[in-house]
Amino acid sequence: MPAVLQAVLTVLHPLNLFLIGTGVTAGIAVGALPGLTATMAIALLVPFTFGMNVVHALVLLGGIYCGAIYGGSYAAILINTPGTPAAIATTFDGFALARKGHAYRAIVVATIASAVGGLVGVFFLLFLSPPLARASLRFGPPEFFWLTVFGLTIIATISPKSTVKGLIGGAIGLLIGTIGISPIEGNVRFAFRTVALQNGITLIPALIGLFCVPEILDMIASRHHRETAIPYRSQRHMLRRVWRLMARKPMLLLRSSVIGTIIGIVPGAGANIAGMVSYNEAVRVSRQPEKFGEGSIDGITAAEASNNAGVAGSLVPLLTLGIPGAPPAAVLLGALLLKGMRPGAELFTVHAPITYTFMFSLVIANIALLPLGLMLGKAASKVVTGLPITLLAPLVFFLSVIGSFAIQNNIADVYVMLALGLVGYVGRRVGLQPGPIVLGLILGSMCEQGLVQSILMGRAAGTPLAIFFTRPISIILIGLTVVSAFWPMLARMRQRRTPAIAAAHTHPIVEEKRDA
Amino acid sequence: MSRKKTVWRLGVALLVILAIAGQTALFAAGAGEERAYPSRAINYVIPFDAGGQSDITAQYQRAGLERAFGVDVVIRHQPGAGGALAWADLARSRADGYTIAGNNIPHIIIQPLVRENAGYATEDLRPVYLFQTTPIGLAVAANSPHNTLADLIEYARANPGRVTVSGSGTHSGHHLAILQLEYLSDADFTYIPATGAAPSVTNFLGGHTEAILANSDDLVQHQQAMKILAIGTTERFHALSDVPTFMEQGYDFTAGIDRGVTVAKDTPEDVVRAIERAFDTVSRDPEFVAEMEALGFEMHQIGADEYAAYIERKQREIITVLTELGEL
Amino acid sequence: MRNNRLVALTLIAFGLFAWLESQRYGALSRLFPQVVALALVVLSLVLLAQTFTARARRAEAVRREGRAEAEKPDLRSVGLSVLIMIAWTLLLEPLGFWTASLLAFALLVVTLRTRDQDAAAVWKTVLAGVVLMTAFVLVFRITLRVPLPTGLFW
Repeated sequence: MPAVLQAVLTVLHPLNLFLIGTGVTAGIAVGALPGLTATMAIALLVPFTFGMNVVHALVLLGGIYCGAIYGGSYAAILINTPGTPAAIATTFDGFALARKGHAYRAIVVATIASAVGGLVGVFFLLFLSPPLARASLRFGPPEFFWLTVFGLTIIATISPKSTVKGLIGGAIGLLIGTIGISPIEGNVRFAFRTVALQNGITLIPALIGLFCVPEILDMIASRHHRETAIPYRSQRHMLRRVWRLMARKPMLLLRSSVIGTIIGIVPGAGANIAGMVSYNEAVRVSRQPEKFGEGSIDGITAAEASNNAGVAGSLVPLLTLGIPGAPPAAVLLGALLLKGMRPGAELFTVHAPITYTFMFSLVIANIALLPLGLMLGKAASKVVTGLPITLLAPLVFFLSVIGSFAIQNNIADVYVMLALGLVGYVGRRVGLQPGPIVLGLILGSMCEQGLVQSILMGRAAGTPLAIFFTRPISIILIGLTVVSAFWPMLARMRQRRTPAIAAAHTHPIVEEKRDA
Repeated sequence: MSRKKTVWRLGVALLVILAIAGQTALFAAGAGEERAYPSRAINYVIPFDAGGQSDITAQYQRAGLERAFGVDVVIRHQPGAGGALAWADLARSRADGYTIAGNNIPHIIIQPLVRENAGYATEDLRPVYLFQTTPIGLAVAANSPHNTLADLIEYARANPGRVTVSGSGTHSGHHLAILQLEYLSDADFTYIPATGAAPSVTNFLGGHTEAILANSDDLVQHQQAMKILAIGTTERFHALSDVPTFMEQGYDFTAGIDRGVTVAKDTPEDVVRAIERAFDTVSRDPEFVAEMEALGFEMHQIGADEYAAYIERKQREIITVLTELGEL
Repeated sequence: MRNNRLVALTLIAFGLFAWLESQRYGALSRLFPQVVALALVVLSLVLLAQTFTARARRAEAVRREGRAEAEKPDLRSVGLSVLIMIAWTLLLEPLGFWTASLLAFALLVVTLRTRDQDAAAVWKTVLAGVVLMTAFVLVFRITLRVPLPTGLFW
């Protein structure tokens, strides 16, 4: 206990508070710019922390991590491009709301949800790390395979207009994901003897290309009809009003945060899909799922609470086992090792004061998100609503170029970004949305890895197929997959049977279409 | 208002002029007579992700290298395709010694062998200095019925393909180690590659595979949860001194990831020697060695000539094993 | 609907190509891409079939009507912008990151000029972009030490 108390006091030291604030602010800025991600921010800043005292370094990097994942929501809301992969689900409703002129409202929702989600995640990190980390080890190849299959059922939710087109998009994403060296035999696939494609398609350039370039081209196509990318409406007392709306649904916040934490803990899944899984669940539980995608506050809440909870989640296996749950956590692992701190039991005994200080600093970072986020969010929404498209469109493209390059210092990634951008633009015009494609891309390599590893394990055990269907977590995941896949049908049947009841229930909080 | 704007514009113009002037100055310097190497910052390319072992080592080396070279050393990461992207770039870069890259064995030997176009040949890279090895060891779970390497191999011989072994990827050092063990012992394992060392350890710790080939630092970290049966060093490994080597137990091979530094093959001889000297100075610093050993690495001080000979030897060994086992 | 038919046929070709290309790989390397390629072909066939249903035809009629009223997007500018963007990325290495970006940016701003923008407005936009981009390039190159291509100029 004295270690814990000492940790709290250390965090409250003015210098540490200052570093947390700096970290969160810098993180938000990086996350908010499309193309610059949390992983990149941490990786670029680790060398600067080399000469720092270990507490200061960790506190700063933790703040950046939290800030960047949250900051990703700005780009998602304002220009329909996830600022970091974690914010993909935020684009679905965030941008829809912004188009109606309520960009700042969407940001306020994202801020509150992120802070709450982050705090729930840190709660799990502080009190339940060891058992949760042990549980995460139960996820072997078959479980990963089924987890990704379950993840793919989200496509049905995020493509309400045409499920077939959504699934086609998902298949395209999965196929793009197989480019590069195959996980088992080491074959170089679909590279056509080029060196650059050997490495496969990197997520970040693909993400920027598929989301951002079509949006830029859309702005260009319609620039004569609208002065700025999104309209601006002034809103007063936003915090209080939004909070009242959100407080009506505490379960939504809590559930999304818990989902985010758990997905974040499973190593390799990470915050990238936490937002989408939680969004999917929010739609499923909602009484009016058709309002999602049109600017539902619930949708933003689900996505943002979950991805910030995933930050702390990804630190659970990192600190207890030395296994990073997400790419930014992997860079943090390097930073820990550079400071001579080896994750594992030692972290909670020998280095306990430092470890607990780091954890408590995340509490402060998530609280600091509120004022900092509201301030920076207002500024960001004013900038985007104020810049003319003639300046905004080229500038966003410039950021896409610099971000795609800097992620791996590789010029080929810039070409990939633009090529997929054109694919994404054509795709969007014919009804293939970027969401399912990117989901396929994210899940593809995990899915294949799980599949072929399981096959090898099954062969070794002499029962090639049994391994997929006999393990307890697998069975749960199969159940979830089936429910999720057939839910739209079930929901339709339910709705048909009791239309009166459905209509009478509380509506999800959707901004009424004043523009329409 | 307009005053403010004018000031802004002036500021911008100044910035642009400064940038151009600075660049021109650099150009002039570069275009002038040959200056003694090194006269400007050196790029130290790490072909793997930030936070990995290669990166950590480079971060520790940087201060010492800057002292030895007398110029800035800039670490940049260029991950992808198991390092191949960075090495392909290095092979095509100007051979002036201002771009140096970490090189890992067996990666730089295996990739050109098994890929139809790896983007470089092993011979395109001139090895300069070998400073570190991460030995690879074989372990089973703490509650496994097998207590020695002999036990495990006997079981694997009796039950071909039954024993699953986790490792960090296809055509990686771990993969090569299992192939060498199979080749020398006539046992048949099922190798389950993961996408890196961390997921491989996760698979093993979760009980999803029976055995694991892991890097020494992972073995040290998780030694409570496992029985380490053998390690791929020539002599006993300092951090795990009660673990016998493969060689001691009758299997004549070493397994590990060797890390060194390399330049493009046409780099002038005196530049290669200057880099060699700088790395030698750093690698002989007792403080650096102690820090690296504490992290679970084995440190070396091997210069360019010996390093080149070592790579040639390894290359022959790897080609033999891969050919015998039908992997080529 | 003609659109959808074209999309379906393109993707069927794409899927078949991926399936055939995968034939060359090892058994465990081709399993996953081939299953996905097959799924892509089947899904595209479903999409193709949907274009022939009566409901689809009705939807198409409604859409045509709607389209006539909708604002016409400026596809000419999109085409031009895409060309500039391609040139932008291809010139990064030969000219240098900063130079290529400035040139392409200025060109793009001029191309995108709207009716209510006079020359002064265009110049102001270019200037603002130059300031912001230079700041970014400086931060990346000098502070963060990201090796942006320098090329012929900078």
